[in-house]
Amino acid sequence: MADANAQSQFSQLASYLDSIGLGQLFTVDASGNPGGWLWNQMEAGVDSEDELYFRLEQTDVFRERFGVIQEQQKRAARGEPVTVMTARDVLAYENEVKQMMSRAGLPSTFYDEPADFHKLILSDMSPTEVNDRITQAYDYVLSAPPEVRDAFDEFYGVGQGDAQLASWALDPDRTVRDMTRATRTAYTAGMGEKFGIQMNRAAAESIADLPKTEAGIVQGLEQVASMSPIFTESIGEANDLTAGNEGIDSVFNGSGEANTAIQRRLAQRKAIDRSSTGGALTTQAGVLGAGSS
Amino acid sequence: MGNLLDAWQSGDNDPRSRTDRVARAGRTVNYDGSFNYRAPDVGPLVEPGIATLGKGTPDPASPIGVTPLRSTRPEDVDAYIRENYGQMAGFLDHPEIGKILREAAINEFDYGKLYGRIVKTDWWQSTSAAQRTWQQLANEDPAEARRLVSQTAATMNNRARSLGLNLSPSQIGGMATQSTINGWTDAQTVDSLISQVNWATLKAGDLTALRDQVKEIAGDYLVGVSPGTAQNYAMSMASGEMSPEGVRSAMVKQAKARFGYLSSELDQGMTVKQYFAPVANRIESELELGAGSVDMMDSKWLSMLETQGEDGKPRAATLHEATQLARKDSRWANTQKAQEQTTNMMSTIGKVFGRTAI
Repeated sequence: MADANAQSQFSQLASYLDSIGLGQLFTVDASGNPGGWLWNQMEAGVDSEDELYFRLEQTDVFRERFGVIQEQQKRAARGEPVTVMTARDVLAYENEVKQMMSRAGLPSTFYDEPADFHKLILSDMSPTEVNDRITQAYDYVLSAPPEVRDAFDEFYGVGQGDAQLASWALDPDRTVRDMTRATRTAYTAGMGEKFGIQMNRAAAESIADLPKTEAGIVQGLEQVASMSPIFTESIGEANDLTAGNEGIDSVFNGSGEANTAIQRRLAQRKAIDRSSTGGALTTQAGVLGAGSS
Repeated sequence: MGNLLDAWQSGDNDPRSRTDRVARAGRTVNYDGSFNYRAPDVGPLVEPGIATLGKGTPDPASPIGVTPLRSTRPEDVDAYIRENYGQMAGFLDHPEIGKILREAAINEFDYGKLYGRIVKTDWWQSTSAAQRTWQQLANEDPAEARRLVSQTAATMNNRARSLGLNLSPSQIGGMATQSTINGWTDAQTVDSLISQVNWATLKAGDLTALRDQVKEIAGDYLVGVSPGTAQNYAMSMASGEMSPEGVRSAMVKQAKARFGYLSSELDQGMTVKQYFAPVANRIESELELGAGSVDMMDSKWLSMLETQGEDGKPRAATLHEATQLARKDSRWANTQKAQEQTTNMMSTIGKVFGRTAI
């Protein structure tokens, strides 16, 4: 039986290796006696970092735990532009990303297995990118108003669950740009919904693609919303103008056609008002009809 | 007188040979120095005509007897014999010799005739010279015979104690009697004592020392000897059948059979133990054990003696291999060296996996 000092050392080493998924390499039995591959290396007198790492890479335990390195090596051998990570790099990556995910509240199933991270690594997803995906997609959608979340679900079919959302956010087939566009689209549609403006995915995407901040989008939507009387047809108005079409086109896209349609309706209503009562309402966005039937 | 006595005492039953010995006048049977028994010059067996009992040099041509026989009546003949050859009187009751003595007295046998008759007896043929001498002594001087037995017993007792035997007085007495009667040599006496050995109850003594010596010699050549084998060698050494060098030679032979690759070194006088001393030292060093505490005969180290070389042939282990094997010993985990190794390994592992301290 190993003495107390030795046992303490052995336990620390075993505990650490276990924590990084290499517990099989160094074991301590019930009597405190060390064993396993690493102990054999000590017995063999291996003590240099290079030699130990070289031997370590040959073990099945290491290969299984750090299969991502083997895969990178294969890709590099095929001439692919890939940086082969060391075990230290992989662990650092895992720790960093795990902390991000944990802080963001992602379900633990997304970071409780090395394979979770290895998929991200093999997708060339840097910790920074993972952070972007978490903050710009997962966090964003999760903290968005219900209307935005609903729109997101409707447009992208992600569903309401956090896990689905996380999967979507971390899907390597989807770029951060794609996700940012999607969230802006959902935001636009959701906020439009709040202003009573119905718009389809294409309309929302067209707004999301504009170089506008979210505040700008909201401002535009407010303008569209303020035009709502125009989009309420009175008796005798045959054209069906809507906020989601002509309103959006007019405010966000500066569509001449939409503007013309709106001006025509306003002019018609003005003519009718002159023959009765009331007058036109002039707003910042232009001439808006205030009357209704 | 002395000539016939010599023949009497000789173990040689060939009369001619015995005659040659008789020619070496004055020679008597010597018991070994351990017993310090020199057979007494008990005079002629039957000397009429050969010599006057105790009165001069024997003359082989003389007729037997110096005093005329009064009559041939048995009592006169016996009296004649007792009077003239008192030393032989004890043989009067001997069925074969008594008859011949009487016949010799009556017929005045000369030496040659008497001798010729006696050597043909079954008694002569089946009795050793020492026994004949003893019988003669016992007949003529029983007290001296008892003293000799007692003296032999004392010597045997000392020898038995020296060997580590704890024999009872009756056992010693029996053997001393046999020794004295049969004129045992020291080697025969030791053989007899050794036949009484019970190793389970044997005390420390020459035999245990010899047994240990055998083990030590065997150890020098890393030859395993069972307790029984060591005991047998020890008994052979004690009885003089085998010398320490003989044992060593036997061990060298066995060592060569086992460690063929060491034949040259063994021939030059090196022991197997000496050859493997560096390996043993390395193991002791790795396990932080005292010098001499590693027994290469221990099964856990045996592989060091017969490592298979790349050519498939057995060879001695290298020091590196000895180091590695020592570290396989469970004691190594508790050594200072192992703890240092563990500390270094923890540091190395930390570097490999990017952790400053474990």
